[in-house]
Formats: sequence, structure tokens, C-alpha cells
Amino acid sequence: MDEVKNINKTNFAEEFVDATEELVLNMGPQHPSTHGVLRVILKLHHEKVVDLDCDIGYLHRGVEKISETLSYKLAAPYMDRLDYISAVSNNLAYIETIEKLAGVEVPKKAQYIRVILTELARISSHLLWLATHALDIGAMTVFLYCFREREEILNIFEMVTGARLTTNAFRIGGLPQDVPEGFEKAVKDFCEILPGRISEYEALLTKNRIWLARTKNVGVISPEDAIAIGLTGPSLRGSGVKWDLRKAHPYESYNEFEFDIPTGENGDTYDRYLVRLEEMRQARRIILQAIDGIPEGDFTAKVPKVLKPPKGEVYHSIEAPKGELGFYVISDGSTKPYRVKIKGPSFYNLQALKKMCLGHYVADVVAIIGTLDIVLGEIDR
Amino acid sequence: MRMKELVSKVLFVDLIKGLSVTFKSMVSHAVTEQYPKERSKIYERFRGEPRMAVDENGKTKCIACNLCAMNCPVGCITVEAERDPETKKRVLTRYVFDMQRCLFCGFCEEICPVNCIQLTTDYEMSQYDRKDFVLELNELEKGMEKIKYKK
Amino acid sequence: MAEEKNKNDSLEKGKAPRKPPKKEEVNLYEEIKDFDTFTKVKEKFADIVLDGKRIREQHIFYIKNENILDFFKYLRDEEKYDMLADLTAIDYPDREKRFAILYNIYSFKKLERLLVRMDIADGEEVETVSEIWPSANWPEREVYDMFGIKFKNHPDLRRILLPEDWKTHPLRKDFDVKNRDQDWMERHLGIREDVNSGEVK
Repeated sequence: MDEVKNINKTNFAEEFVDATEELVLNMGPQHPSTHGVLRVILKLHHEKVVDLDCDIGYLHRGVEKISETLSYKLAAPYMDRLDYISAVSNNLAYIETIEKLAGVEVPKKAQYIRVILTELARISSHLLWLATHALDIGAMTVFLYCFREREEILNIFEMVTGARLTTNAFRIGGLPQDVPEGFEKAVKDFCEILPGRISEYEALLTKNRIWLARTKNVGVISPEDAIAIGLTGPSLRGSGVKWDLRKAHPYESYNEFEFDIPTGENGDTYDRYLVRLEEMRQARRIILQAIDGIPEGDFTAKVPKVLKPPKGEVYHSIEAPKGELGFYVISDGSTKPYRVKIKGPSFYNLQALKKMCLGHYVADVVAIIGTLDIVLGEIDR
Repeated sequence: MRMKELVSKVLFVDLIKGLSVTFKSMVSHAVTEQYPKERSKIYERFRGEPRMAVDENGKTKCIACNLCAMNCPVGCITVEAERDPETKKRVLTRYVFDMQRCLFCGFCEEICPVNCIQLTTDYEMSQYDRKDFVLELNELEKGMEKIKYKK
Repeated sequence: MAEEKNKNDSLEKGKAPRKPPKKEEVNLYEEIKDFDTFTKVKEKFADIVLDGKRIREQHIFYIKNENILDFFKYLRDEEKYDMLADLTAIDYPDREKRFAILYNIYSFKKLERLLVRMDIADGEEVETVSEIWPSANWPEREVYDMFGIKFKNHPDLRRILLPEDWKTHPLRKDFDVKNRDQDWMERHLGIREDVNSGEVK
């Protein structure tokens, strides 16, 4: 009798809720929306995430160790394979670090062409991000449209460097060879079509009610938290921190170009989306300024064939499409670096995943992984 | 402002706008290529299949200087040479290029003093067997044997 | 391999090895001048801060492994170095204190970067800074993974990139680049390879 009474007394639904055990859900490493081989172990209470843990390292190749065994020049192609979406930026960061360490002055012409190529890489990286992010959330059309434009950029890369993805675009001291004929025209043609294409994506997404429902107030992070957890790049700017290494510590010739740093307000997925779209437009602005102002002169400085930088250590970072990409190189005076440390933005950005996901639905985890714009090649190194 | 938003929501303005983009692309020409029949333009600088150049007598241009092997980040090139007792010159005896490891970085092509090794614009390099990727000198001079798929 | 061959070749030629012209050793390290933070820190933490150097417009502080939490808290709160951009370690097997830990901190207010270097001996434990900068969580795990340096009070000190039952610490200098944990490979993949030839058995 007593038992029956007890059942009547308690709110059955509440009892049921409390009795539910937490469910551990394994997402990845072969999940299509984890953008590579990221494994996320989610602890769910009903549909909501209460805890999560990232398991990384499936793509660990030991790039830092390998580059200790190679000469300064030969390690550069390995750096292309860190963030393979924007190989040019990775190459630039490494090459610039070595140049800073060895005290090599790069001619102005090479600097301008480097700026053009890295900004093209930024656009291509953001295009790929938008494509996959939208695909994860369910907008298939944008995926195909973005790849259409990315193709044009890859064609320019192929024309200038000889490869489409892992370009190996720069050498210590400048460029491997001068830009080919038709480069300026190709870049200008691309810049002409880009704004129209970006407004196409905006027409598809910015006001779309499904897109708004899936991105607004999802993965909110405050500027203080974002700084504490080490977010950089568009993810940080989406939270309203106006910080860009191109402005804060100009490298190459970035101080000669006019551009704005777009920032968000709420720090949610939607704001980061807007920031990245605006960054594409700003990158186009930089490219147009640079392409009109390419100075005459050499495309490479004189660098000894066997480079032996003096003893010392240097940290240098650039604003890669995903955030602050830095290299810390120690030279012991020989032809090989003593230690190379890669500070990849995605490694630090992924740490914020836990903070951003807690309390959200499982489906939002996909959106948040997308908005962080991670590349596992760089996280695992 | 509120009213305007509500009206646009009820009238599906956002969806119509998006669909107009899709419909526009339906009438524009296709950007895709039908690959084996249509081929996209390959630029001159493309780094594809490696090839060793020969001089006018059909002999290899290679002087066995070993620079390409030293400048390979992955060590996929092996150069074996002997010294000719008469001319005191180094003569190439064996040249092996392991395509499975190649990064296509182009350092070998850049460093070659006689423009012997070149990365050509050929990009179809599939083979049925792993050992077919290890190319000897004669294969490098002629180019890889292409396997044609037959129905 | 290739380099060895080349050495042999140059010997074969019978020429005397060319002596490279003696270059003057360039010393990139300069003394710190007019850096406010350094004078303040040097005063306040005289027993911890050993030295400060400047290299290519970049300040480096050298500290001792004592009460580092107070030191870093001061840097974060008073000097506004609010982001830990990177944390790594370097292995010097010949030195008495084998490892060096490098903190790379950044101030958004001053737009300034600061490197802090700390030498520690093999087996010495380091206080974690993940309480001060949460971003130190993963990099500290990475340093533990790659070098085997343990961090005291770390919330979750596990291997991060390598599998959990892996035995070695690959970024140590005595670990050869071709080396792998053979036991691990035998256990999980059922293969064992010859270290020298790379042949799989």
C-alpha cells in the first residue's frame, strides 16, 4: 500500500527526469562534421551537453621533430601541411621567422606579392570554412557556390607557385621566381567577381530563418573568456576584441595598406559568421591596393645557399586565417634548427569548445565546431 | 521595425531572396567539368610527374652531382655514381625516384644545375602496384607507363 | 644518408677541404634597456628573476622555478599580460638543468609580447599556470606528452597527442626521429619494425 501511495505522491515526470542516466556519446573521429579526425566524447543529459572531452592526436606526424632533422630551407614544405587549407600563410609564417632570425631583408616587390598570395589564401580559407560550416548546419547550396570561387583562387595559386593546395610558395629571402604573365589580370578578375558572390552567400544565409535559428546565441563566449582561453583570429574578433596582428604588429608591408578590422558584438556563431564574411571583403581591399602598387625590383634577396643563422631564438607570429600562427625557432648556429615550436591557432581555439558547448543541444556542437574553424593538421602537428 | 520584420517573415521574404539566387544559377552556364573528356587548363609551372631530360644523343643530362638528393626534404631520390677512371668524371650508374614519398615541393627541379630533373605538367599518376611508383632512370626518361582502363 | 654520401664524395675528389672564412660570431642577445616591466619585476621578485635579455626586439625574462604562481599572477593582474599565447619546453641534454620551459604571454592592452624562460632539471615538477591562464591546460599536457615534464596541480594531466599507453617522450633529444614505441606497435598493430632499415616484421 505504502508504495502505491508513494507513487501517487511523487511527480512521476520529475522522477523520470532524475532517474535518467547521463549518456556518453562518442562523436568522431570519422564524423563528417568534425572536419578531420577529431573525436569528441560528449556527456549528455537528454539532448543537452553537460560535459565534453576532446581526443586529438590522430593526425600527429611529429612535424616539430622532423624539422629538427632538416635544414632550415627543407622544413618549409612540411609547414604547408599544417593548415592545408591556407598553406601559403603557414609557409609565410615559417619563412618570416627564419628571416627574422637570420636578419634577411626581403625586397618590397616580394613583400607585396606575399601579401597578395596570403590574402588570397585567407579568402580561400574562409570560403572553405563557410562552405563546410553551412553544410554542417544544412545549407547544401552554399557549399557548392563557395567551392566555385575557391577554384578560381586555386587556379591563381597554380599559376604562380605550381601547386594548388600545398603550394610551397615562398623561399627564405623572397620568392622562388617572379610572378608569371597574366597574374595581375587573374587576380583583378577574381576581385571583380568576389563581391557579387559574397552577396549571393549573404542572400542565402544572412536573413535566412533557419540559419538565424541555428547560429544566433549559439556558442556565446565573452571577450574576457575568449582572451583567457587563448582564442585568436576571427573567433576572438567575433566577441568584440578588436585585435589583429596585421595592425598590432605589422609584418611584410601591411602597414602600407588600408583595411578595417571587423568585430562582432555578441560573440555568438552568427557574429563570427559576419566577421569572416567582412574579412573576405577586407582581404579583397588589401589585394586591390597591393596589386596596383607592386613596386619594381628584385623578387628575392641574396641569401647564402647554406643558411646558418646566428645563435639565438625568435618568436614570430602572423595573422593566419584562423588566428595567430606563430613559430618559435631556436638556432644553435648550425644548418639545422635546434627546436621548432609551432603555435597553431586551432589548437588553442579548440580548447574553447568545451566552454562554448556546455548547456547547448547536441546539434549545436556541430555548429560550434564549425564556427571555430579548426584544421586538425595544425592541431595534431 | 517590428511590423516590417513580421511582414517579411509571413511573406517568406528571406526564402524568396535565397531561392532567387538558386534559380539564377540554374539558367547560367555550368562551371563543372566532365573530367576524363574535358580537362581543365594546366599551368606551365605545375609540379607533376618527374621526368629526367636527355641530351640530343639520347644520353642522360644528369651529372650525378647529388644536389637533388641532398635538397629533398623526404629523401625520395637516390643517386649512385662511379668515377670514370679515364675522364675522371662522375658517371651516373643508378637513379631511383620514389614517387610514393615525393612531396612535389619542386626543390630538386630548382637546384638542378643542368635542368635534368623536371616536374612536368602530367598529373595522372595512378598505378595498380606500389612497386610501380619506384621509378628507375629509364622510366623517368620515358615517363611513367600509363595504365588505360578498359571496359 | 645523402649528406654522408656527399662528404665521401668531397673526400674522393682529393681536394683539401675548403676552410670556410671565419665569421665573427654575432651575438643577438642584448641587455634590456628602458623596459618598465623588467625594472619593476626585478625589484619585486629579486629572488626569482635571474636575468633579462632582448633579442630581435623581443624581451625574454629568465626565472627560477620558485613561487612562479605569484610572479605570473603579478604579470597578469598588474602588468596586464592577459593571454598565454604559447607554452613549450626545450630539451638540452648536456646541461645540468636539462629542460627549459618557455611561457609566451601577450598583453592586449600594451600590445606587447613577453617570453619567460625557466630552466628545470629532469624530474623536477613545475607548478601549473592553468589557474592563471586557462589556455595553459592543453599546452601543458602537450609538454608532458612530448617531454615528460610533470605539472603540479594540473586539472587533467594526460597525454594529449600520443596514445595514453605510449611509453616514450618523443621531443627529447635522445629520442631518434625514426624511433617508435615498438612495444606499443606490437600490442596494438601486431607489427614490429627494424629501427635501422624500417622493415616491418
